[in-house]
Amino acid sequence: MKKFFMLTVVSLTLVLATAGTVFATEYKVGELTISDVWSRASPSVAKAGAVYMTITNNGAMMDMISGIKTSMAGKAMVHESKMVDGVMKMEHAMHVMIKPGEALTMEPGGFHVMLMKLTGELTDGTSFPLTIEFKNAGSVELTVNVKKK
Amino acid sequence: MIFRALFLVGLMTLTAYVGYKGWKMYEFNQLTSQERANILVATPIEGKYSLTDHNGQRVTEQTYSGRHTLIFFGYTWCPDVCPTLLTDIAFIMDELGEASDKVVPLFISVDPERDTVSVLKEYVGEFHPGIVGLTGSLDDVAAAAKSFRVGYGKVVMDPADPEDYSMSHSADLFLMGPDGKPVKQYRFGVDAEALVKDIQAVLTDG
Repeated sequence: MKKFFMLTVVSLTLVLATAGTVFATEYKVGELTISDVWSRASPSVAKAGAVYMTITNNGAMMDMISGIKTSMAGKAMVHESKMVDGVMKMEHAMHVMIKPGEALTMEPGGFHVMLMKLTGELTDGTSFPLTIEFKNAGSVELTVNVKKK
Repeated sequence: MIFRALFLVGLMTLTAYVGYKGWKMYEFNQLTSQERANILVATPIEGKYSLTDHNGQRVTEQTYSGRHTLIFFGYTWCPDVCPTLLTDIAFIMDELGEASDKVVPLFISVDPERDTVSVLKEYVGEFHPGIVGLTGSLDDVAAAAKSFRVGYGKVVMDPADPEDYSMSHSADLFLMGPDGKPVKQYRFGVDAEALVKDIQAVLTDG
């Protein structure tokens, strides 16, 4: 009996853990869906960081990121790491479009929200709020999970 | 008329160039991670350096003689590429297990003005205790980069805030042999698991 109980607990935990990954937090704003919002944990001496996410446009109209604010950084803007002749360059992406029916994936080595002048530490397992504003869809507050990945 | 012709020629050249670059990117993205892992840059490098490690000791490539070194250039204010690579290197070291004793990962700063010995020590140590941060004078760093044929430069993102600059830099990863000579050079974006396999193969072969 005890064994059965343990087994139930273990399987329940597993189911919940899986559900947690499958139904990871998604945000909806207008016709946009935002998922996989995370930031890499970085050493306490780090002065900059990056936030990654996937923004999907389910609507029929093009949208654009018009502003980003977070209490974690003095400045936050979308940058793109680009390889040019073997050299990784970072460019300030001025007009980041999210085309209708498409997704903008921000991931390591590509588009990312660059956090400059960090006001706190990006500690593994913590989270912080970030507000992202779109030209058409309006703004939404996201919870950024900090992890090592 | 002539301007129009020139404009057209210019436009065609630009289109061709963009097309070529796009195709190259496409080709690269089609490769499997193992194929990517084996991408070597044909240009031979010397790979010599004379720098200061994060404990304040002067080091050269001879300091690590007898062990492989895994070298890349970056800076601590780097938000995206360097933390990604350092996380991969920490993963590689863990995966190598006992064999990691034969490998010293070196993170060479291209921003010695901000990356002092103490900053570097604290920075690299949080990714993995085995990683060694190297810095030096502007000339030391320039000489090391030249020897690895690594390009880098300061980029001021916001003219109103010139102190908040970022650095562009080559993100290649160099695997050097126990004799200090180059063995492999990996492009940024190679899957960390493929790197582990490739490095394991090198370590087993000699």
